[in-house]
Amino acid sequence: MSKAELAVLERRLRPIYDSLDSQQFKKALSDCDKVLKKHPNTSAAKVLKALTLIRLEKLADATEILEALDVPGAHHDELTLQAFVHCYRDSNQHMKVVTLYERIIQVDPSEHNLTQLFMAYSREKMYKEQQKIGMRLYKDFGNAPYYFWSVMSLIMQAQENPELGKKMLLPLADKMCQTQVEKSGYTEGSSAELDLQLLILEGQEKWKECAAFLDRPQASVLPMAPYNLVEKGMDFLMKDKQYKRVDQLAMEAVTKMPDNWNLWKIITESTICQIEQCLESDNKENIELAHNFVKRLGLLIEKVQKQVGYKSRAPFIATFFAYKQIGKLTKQIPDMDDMTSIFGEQVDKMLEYAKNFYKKPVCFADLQMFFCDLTSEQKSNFLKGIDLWIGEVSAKDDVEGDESKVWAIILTERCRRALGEYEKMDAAGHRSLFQQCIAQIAAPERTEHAQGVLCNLTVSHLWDAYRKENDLTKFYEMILLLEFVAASNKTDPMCKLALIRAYSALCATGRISALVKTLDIKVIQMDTLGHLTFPVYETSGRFNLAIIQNTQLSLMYEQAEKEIQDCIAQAYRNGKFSAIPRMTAASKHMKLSAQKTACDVMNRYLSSLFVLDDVDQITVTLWGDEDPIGEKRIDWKQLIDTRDFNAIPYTETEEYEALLDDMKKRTFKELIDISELRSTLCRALGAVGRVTHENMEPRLARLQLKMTVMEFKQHLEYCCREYPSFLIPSKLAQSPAPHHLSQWVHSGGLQMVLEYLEAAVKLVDILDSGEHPEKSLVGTRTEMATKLIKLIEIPPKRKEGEKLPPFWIVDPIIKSSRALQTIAAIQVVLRLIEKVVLKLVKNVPTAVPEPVGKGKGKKDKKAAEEAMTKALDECKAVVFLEHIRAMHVELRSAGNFLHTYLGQMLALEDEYIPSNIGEDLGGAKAALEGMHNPVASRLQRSFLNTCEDMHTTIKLRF
Amino acid sequence: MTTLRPFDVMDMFKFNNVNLDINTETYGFQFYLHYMMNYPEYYQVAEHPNGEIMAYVMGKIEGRDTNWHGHVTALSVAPNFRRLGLAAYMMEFLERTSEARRAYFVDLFVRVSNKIAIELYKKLGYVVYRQIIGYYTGDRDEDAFDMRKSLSRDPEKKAMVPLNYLVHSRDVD
Repeated sequence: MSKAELAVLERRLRPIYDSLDSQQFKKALSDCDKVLKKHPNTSAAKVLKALTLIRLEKLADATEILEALDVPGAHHDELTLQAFVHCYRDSNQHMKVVTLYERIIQVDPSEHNLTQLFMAYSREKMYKEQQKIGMRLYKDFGNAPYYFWSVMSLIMQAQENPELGKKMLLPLADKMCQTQVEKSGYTEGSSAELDLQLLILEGQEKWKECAAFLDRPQASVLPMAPYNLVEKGMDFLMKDKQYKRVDQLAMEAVTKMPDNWNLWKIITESTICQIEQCLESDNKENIELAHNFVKRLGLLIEKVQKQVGYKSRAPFIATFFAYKQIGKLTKQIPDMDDMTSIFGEQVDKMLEYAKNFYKKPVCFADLQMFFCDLTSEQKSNFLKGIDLWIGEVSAKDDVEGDESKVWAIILTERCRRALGEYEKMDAAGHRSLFQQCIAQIAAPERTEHAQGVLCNLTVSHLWDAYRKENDLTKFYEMILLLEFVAASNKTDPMCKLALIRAYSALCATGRISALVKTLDIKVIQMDTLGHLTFPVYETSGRFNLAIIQNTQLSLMYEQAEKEIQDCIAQAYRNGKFSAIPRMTAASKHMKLSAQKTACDVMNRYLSSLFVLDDVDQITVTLWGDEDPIGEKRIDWKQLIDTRDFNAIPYTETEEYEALLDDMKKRTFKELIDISELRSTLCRALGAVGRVTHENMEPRLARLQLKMTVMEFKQHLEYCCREYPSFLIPSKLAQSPAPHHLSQWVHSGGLQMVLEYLEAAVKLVDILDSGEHPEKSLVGTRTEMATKLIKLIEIPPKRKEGEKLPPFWIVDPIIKSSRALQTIAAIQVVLRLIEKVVLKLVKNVPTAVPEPVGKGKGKKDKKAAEEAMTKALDECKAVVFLEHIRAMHVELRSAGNFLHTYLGQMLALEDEYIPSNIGEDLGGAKAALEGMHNPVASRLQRSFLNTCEDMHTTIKLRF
Repeated sequence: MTTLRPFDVMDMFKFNNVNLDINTETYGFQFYLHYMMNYPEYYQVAEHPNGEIMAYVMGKIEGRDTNWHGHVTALSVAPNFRRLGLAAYMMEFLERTSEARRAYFVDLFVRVSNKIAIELYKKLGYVVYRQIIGYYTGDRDEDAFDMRKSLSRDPEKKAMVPLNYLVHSRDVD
């Protein structure tokens, strides 16, 4: 197609593009039809129509159009191809982009099309095929960059298969690269060849050659700052065990850059490696040499410390690091148990560090790294020393505008907590400490930074009471304190994050939304911080908000993948090869994000239950975006934990790390398990609908139905075992928003759904054998009612004469949400069962037939009896369908009862927000009391809105 | 203790402690990857020995003739790592890099309300070159100061002579 013709076509399609861009999909559809009416053979318009249908979630109709056009041997103009790509990407059929261009190059092997295929292979990580296309581009068009694309493809293959990479792929890549460089030299103004050569050497772990490579003058062209280049060179030397060379370079550099931690780290590690070599034998000379290495390190540290005074931290931390690393030696240095004479007394050094750097917020983080190296006696001595010091600091006069004393208090209290002193205090001591902290937080002219740190520390204390004693009053006091800080402190994000975490435990969705907006959490943060809020809208019964949140998340993931892939393509085009592996890793990280999958599954689940009405749309949504035969299933074991748990800092003892690690593993597993549970449920429900789908192969549909129901059953049983009913969500401050999986699997609701799914399996078998189902297949109405009554019994149980505990409303909210989900799921499966009956049973009569008159002869009589028998047999289907409809009535009744219960619950006199706050806090009580009314009001409003949302859901859906 | 290393794309998964700062914008992947690919020497991360990101600086070099300059796109320090001179150190690093690339000056944009940052840049030798109306948009609409510091290639400091009129954001070159 000529440029002129292309321009004409583009003008013709302009209205469609505009409508699509402005998301006016119905108008876009109309625009497509207009173009096709005048120009019926315009392929681009047809494909754009398919794109519009995809945007309107009519995938089947779109697929019909695409399959008719995307056939071998077809010629397509560029606009049509672009439209095809959009269609396949929007419908998550990326492999079809590959297929599309593989077909295109058969009829039009242009440079552009081959390049497009190369990039499509890159996106799908088909590096072997990518390599071939790269080489073909080079041979056909002679441009050197294409040759290097092929080399890069080999490197990517090697990264996927390191063993084969070292053996064959990288040597081949190296040879190819060398050949091209010898032939044409290095490309002026580009680092392409150098990037490739370094990637190859690194992949081969040829560290000596890597180090030599960076020493070459040409290395200055590499995309690294000279500073980074030198350090990377040292890193290679370390890997090559050239410790003497490392020492020479690093020790010279550290005197010029004494605050460069990388240098201190590499010097210490180099020294340790050399000591280890010495200790491999018991030779006296080697032992002496080991001693000398330690002394040399000590002298260097001492020298630089004197050189810089207390203007730089690194030389002083080097002392602690040296102690730490030497302590890790598997074989201790003989005759050197006490290194005090070399490095100084460890506790004294730490106290000295604290006294000189306490004004720096980082001081605690620096010291905390080494607390685990101290003995109990050393910890005790450190605490005594710091108590003595803080006493001296406190005795000094206050200086207006100077917060030094506050930072001293912060450091002291953080050290005390980290070394276990807080745990030794009694309740009165805790209370007194809390009072003092509030006073400091609320002090006039307290800077926002210091206030934020104090608040974070104080919250740690109160969170302990909640975590260990389930003290909900103190938990509420913590919320009030955080809100107090958040109201006035505009720059500290940590109090807001902590509030989100706290409110997620209370299903307080309104405030969570406001805080997320205030923090401006977006883009990648929606993934790394998403765990703070992800399930809370679902567990709170705010299904529309959950769907909105999940939709936004899905769009973020799609956009991220698009942007990363565009950057990878750009990197190839511009010869920025060193960036490609890292961007590919980022792409994988996002694509395999556990939250991404969880988000998709949850959205399909909730949309099917509470938004969609058309049963066919429900079926498609439940089944998900997969190949027609459903072979491309979620690999749950490959999913990655992308959650950032460091966003909320903490001050805890060293044992807390183990708790955190355990929590991360458990909550990640729970995220996977609940997502898989939803997924298997969705697929099982969808499989019922697919039995009647016109495009489905009947045998396959039946097999899928049995398999998916079995999978759901097995996974549900697994979850029941793994998550016993007594299991409560993690209460660590850094824990993600709870999923309440144990509540869900023991609510009885999922078991009800399973019963109806199993009934559906039996139903299909019955109908396939020519028989009709009995009412008993799905149980009696009474049985259903009994189970539903138990399911929706959400009111809290009260002990005689006692008030309900604070925040008692949270559990009923969660139960209500899950109950609604169960009722909706049963409704869906019953609707699908109805459709199965209507579809598979032919000539279902509308009513029980009347008896016919007696025939005159034996023959007629027999025929009449047979007709009656057949009619009565067919009546079973009618009776069955009527029974299903009666069950729908029962579901609606359950929904209405739940509605009533929710209303009654709100009318209960028991307060669900603590009012006895601030006891024993003296003057600090005022700060909390001032926040009580607005916070309580917001919580009440949030709970009310939650109940109203569920009211609305009940009215609309049942 | 200041150690800089090149930004890695995986840093995006753990820079929340820096990016949750009210004055730090979080962009899409393409924005960060563009700088990582094209200006890696201007994109540095300061990392604490415990693995936390302390701060990062993102910049580029652009312009033509006497407008050939280094630009600081973003400079952000995590709260727990402030008052360590990190910002000054990273600015110095970026200036040295710009010198090596024979830039005439270094410039940056900063919110007019960000007094602390403005004061810091002034201490480092930057002056307000011009005020840009409506540079920041969104929930916190605000003007920006374009601040500059001449390098050795501009000994007469011509680049630092302030404009005597306001500039609209759409007219910023």
